[in-house]
Amino acid sequence: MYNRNYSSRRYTYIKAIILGDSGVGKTSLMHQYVRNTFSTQYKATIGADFMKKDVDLGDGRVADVSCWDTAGQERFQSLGVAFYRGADCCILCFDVTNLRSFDNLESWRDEFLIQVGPRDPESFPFVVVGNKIDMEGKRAVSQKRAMEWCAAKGNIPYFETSAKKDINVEDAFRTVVRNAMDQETEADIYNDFPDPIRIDADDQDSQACAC
Amino acid sequence: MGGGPAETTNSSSEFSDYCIVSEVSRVKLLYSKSKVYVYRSMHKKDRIPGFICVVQGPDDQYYIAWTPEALMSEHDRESYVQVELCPSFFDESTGRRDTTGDGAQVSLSMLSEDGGILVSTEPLHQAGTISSVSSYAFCKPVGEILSLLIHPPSLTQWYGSVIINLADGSSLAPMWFHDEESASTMLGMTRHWGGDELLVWLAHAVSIERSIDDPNRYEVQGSKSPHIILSRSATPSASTMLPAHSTFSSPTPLASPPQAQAPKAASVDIIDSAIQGNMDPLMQQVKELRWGILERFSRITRTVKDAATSFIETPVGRQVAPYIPPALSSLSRAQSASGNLVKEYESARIYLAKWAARHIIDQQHEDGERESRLAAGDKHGSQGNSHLSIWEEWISENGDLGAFEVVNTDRSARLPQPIRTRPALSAEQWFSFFEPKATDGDNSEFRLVADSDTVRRAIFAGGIEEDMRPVVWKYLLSIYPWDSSESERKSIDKHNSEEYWNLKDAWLSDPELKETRDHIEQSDRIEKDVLRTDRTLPLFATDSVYGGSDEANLSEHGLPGSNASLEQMKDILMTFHYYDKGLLGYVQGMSDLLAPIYSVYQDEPTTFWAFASFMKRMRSHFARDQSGMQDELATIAQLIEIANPKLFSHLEKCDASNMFSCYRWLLIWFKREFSFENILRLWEVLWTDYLTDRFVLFVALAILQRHADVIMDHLQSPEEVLKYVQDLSDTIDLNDALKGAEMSFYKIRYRVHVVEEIRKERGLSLFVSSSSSSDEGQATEAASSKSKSKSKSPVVEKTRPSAQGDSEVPLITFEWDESENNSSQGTPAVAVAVVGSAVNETLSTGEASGNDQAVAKTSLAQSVPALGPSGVTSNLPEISEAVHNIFAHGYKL
Repeated sequence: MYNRNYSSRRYTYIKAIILGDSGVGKTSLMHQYVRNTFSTQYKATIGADFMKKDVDLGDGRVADVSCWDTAGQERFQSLGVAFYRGADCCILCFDVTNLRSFDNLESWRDEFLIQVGPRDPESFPFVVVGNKIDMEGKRAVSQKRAMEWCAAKGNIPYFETSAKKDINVEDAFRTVVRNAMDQETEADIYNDFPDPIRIDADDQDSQACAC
Repeated sequence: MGGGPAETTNSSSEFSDYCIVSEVSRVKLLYSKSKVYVYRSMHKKDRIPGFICVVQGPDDQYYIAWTPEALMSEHDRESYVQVELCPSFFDESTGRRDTTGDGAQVSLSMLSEDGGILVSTEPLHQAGTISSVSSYAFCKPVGEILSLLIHPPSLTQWYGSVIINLADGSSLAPMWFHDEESASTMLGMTRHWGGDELLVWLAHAVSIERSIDDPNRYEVQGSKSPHIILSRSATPSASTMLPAHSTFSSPTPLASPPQAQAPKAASVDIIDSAIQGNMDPLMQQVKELRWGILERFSRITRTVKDAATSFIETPVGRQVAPYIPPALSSLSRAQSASGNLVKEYESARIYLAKWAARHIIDQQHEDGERESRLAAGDKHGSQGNSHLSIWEEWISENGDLGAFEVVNTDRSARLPQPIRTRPALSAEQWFSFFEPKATDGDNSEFRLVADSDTVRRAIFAGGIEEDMRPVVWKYLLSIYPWDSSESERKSIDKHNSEEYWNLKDAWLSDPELKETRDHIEQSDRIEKDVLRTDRTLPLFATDSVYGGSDEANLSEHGLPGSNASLEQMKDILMTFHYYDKGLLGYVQGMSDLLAPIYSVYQDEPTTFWAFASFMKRMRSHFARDQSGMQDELATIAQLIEIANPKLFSHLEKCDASNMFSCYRWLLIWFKREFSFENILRLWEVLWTDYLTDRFVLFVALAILQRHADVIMDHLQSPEEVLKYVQDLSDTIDLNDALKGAEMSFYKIRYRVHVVEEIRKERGLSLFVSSSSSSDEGQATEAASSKSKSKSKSPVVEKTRPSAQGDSEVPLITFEWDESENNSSQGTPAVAVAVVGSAVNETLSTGEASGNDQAVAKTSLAQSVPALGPSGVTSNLPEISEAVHNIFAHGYKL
């Protein structure tokens, strides 16, 4: 017999901004994360776009995440303000085969912090994503180097991903969403409705850095 | 968490066994409802849509089944939908199925002899096999049901759900009725959410009673043999479908077997009242409102008029969601606003918005078809008002104009008829614009003799035939001067070609330059962008010389393969980068602007110069400080404010009036929104600068106008507006948008003119200068230099019909009649004149009769109380300098 079983679920809206140089794979990462698809036919992003995804963190918390994908040319940054507004977390992306895209992380991060102006920039939830690890032979940025940078910036979690092969993408996003949720406090909303029957144990709680 | 159901969802052995034994592969489908979901988890992607249905097996047993859509053949799915759409399929008096009724268009092969719809048992058969999806499917004899837990839609759960508990103590996974997605709801055929209907249907087969302990539980009573308790109404085929042994059922009303009748009747009553009473009254209201909206939307397809009158004006069309938040607080069950609830509403809202948008899209095409039919019929006849009639609604959009009430005279004002849509410019027509070739051929200059206005007008009205584009575009893009001779054009081509190769050579043969950081960065950027531009076109598909397979390229460089055309595009952009370096260089987005031009010329030098010319006007969009785009967005915002104040104030409410939602549209001139072919058409029309060089803004405005009602009714945040607007991509009818843009231009021009006249009358500055502080003297001076500001009497004048009779375009001219100034009425003379001319459409000489003026004064006083004799009003709309400038070039037609 089915029992109506009430449990409290926390439901939080999270705005995540994906930043990084043109062509590092921001759109691909977003599509892989939200839709589990990869295409060779993406176009350069013009302006900004976003996609939504429900993220069940498995501990009773559910996030309604909107991922914002932005144009990668720094020329368009002044426009970014409008899209950055209200961001809860940020995914900084570079291409492990492109050193320049890694070098530019610093300015992406700084610019973002200036425009969003969080109360405590040091603890703002960032995650750094080194994408395109499927092209191992072309690597130009070592894992060590990237991790050192992340450590120096206040222990930003670092993930090496492949949007194409779907490696670590989910983990990277889940981590930054979780960190953003941890910062959300009083604003939480408690919801009262029956849990759906869950057959798949789909909350495989992959913990942070897989490296 | 309910413990049991998970393990028990897939035992369907009885039915399967039965089917195998009897070798009958088809069953009668009695009731069906689409979009009933089983949730495997909270993730949206884990929600499996399917059909819940009641079927009658060959053994005349009744079964309840849920089958995932994915397991059904197209054919079967159609019949399921058919049954869903004809739930009242039974003619109760005859006990026969009425197959002639509405919606009963079932192919013959699907009909049994007595008219029942047969479906293959295959999907039912598959229940409990193979994939993870199918493991949720079930098919159970109705008699095996012990009880049902039914939760109608409520404020905390937008979708109703049904859980079936079986006699063996197990439960089936909850089924969620996404009623607004289901076919019967979409077509406005039912007001039920589905679970209630299902219950009534089951009650036909078994006796059901509502539990006293739990109002949501319905207990199935009695026998496992449905035959005994089948009542009249539940025995659709009492006399024909059932074999002879089922004589318990009777075809005549109230003559069912006594032992079944009493409990049955009672239970149905209980159920009916239960269903009614079970739905929260507030919820009922919300749902009702939703139906109201859906019904209203369906009317949009009928006529534009309906949409304009019934939809816009009724408050029902406003919004469902606003009813929710205040109501929530009064709900005892929900302690606080539930995030999930809000979210469900949000998705429902966007869903409804998109649903409504589909009708707009249909409407676009309908209008287009009507128009082309009319055009075809009109070919040799008069191209008169019937042509315009489609667009009258567009022009005369009525209602609360807010601050622009003062200029709400558009309806009666004679705005020009749109000159779209004419046939595309043909070679024949094009060459008719030229002087004839001299017969001796020696001293022919072969110049264009028609003035550029005529040519641009023709292109504005219809575009250019494909094979004429290469040459005509050179004129539009100022590569050829309008009055050039043939020899001049030849020399321009030659010079341009040489010049290009020089420019290209300059960077190509400079090894040092190529080592610079700037070069490497730009060349990387260009490569990445070019390889991501329009790759679905054959022209830009990966080829074997430069490309190979995309897969190999992707693993090698992280980018898809190239082709010969793309290699040329890269060189063109690199050359442009250096050509334009002091100013702009290459910026992302330019490859999108280059591709259409390249496709027309497919030649490096010509493409380069055409592109460079295009970039002159687009340059400001790519400025480092984004000032150009800011200006575009601010201007489109003001155009919306003038054309549709209600929409504008809604956008303000949504925090979306910065118009970032249109950013992509404007930055690259709709390149991502239309098909490639349509982009060629759109751009050549825009390049004519026929009405204004900012016509692209009016195209954007027209598209937003088309969707204004949906935006106002359904969208509430900047994110929603952005998503909705960007998702319009590929749904916009180009001709509809261009025509709408033209109409909007005339309408706004008229409003702006009237407002400026009034401002002038009051000694106010004509427009709000972009430097914000309005220096009146300066502004007036600036304005008077731009227009003849002697006096102020707009006069409607009809143009002479042209010789061909195809360009009967009424002109609004503004003549300046000093005598009007002497009007001693307190009302500003200009306002009188405006309304006067509007009231009297036939006014052609500028002499309004005294009567007209009297009428005018009355209507003006009624509609614009703020315009009192004092002439002082606070709500006179302000026109920005940018908008002023659009219309400052006089009244060209």
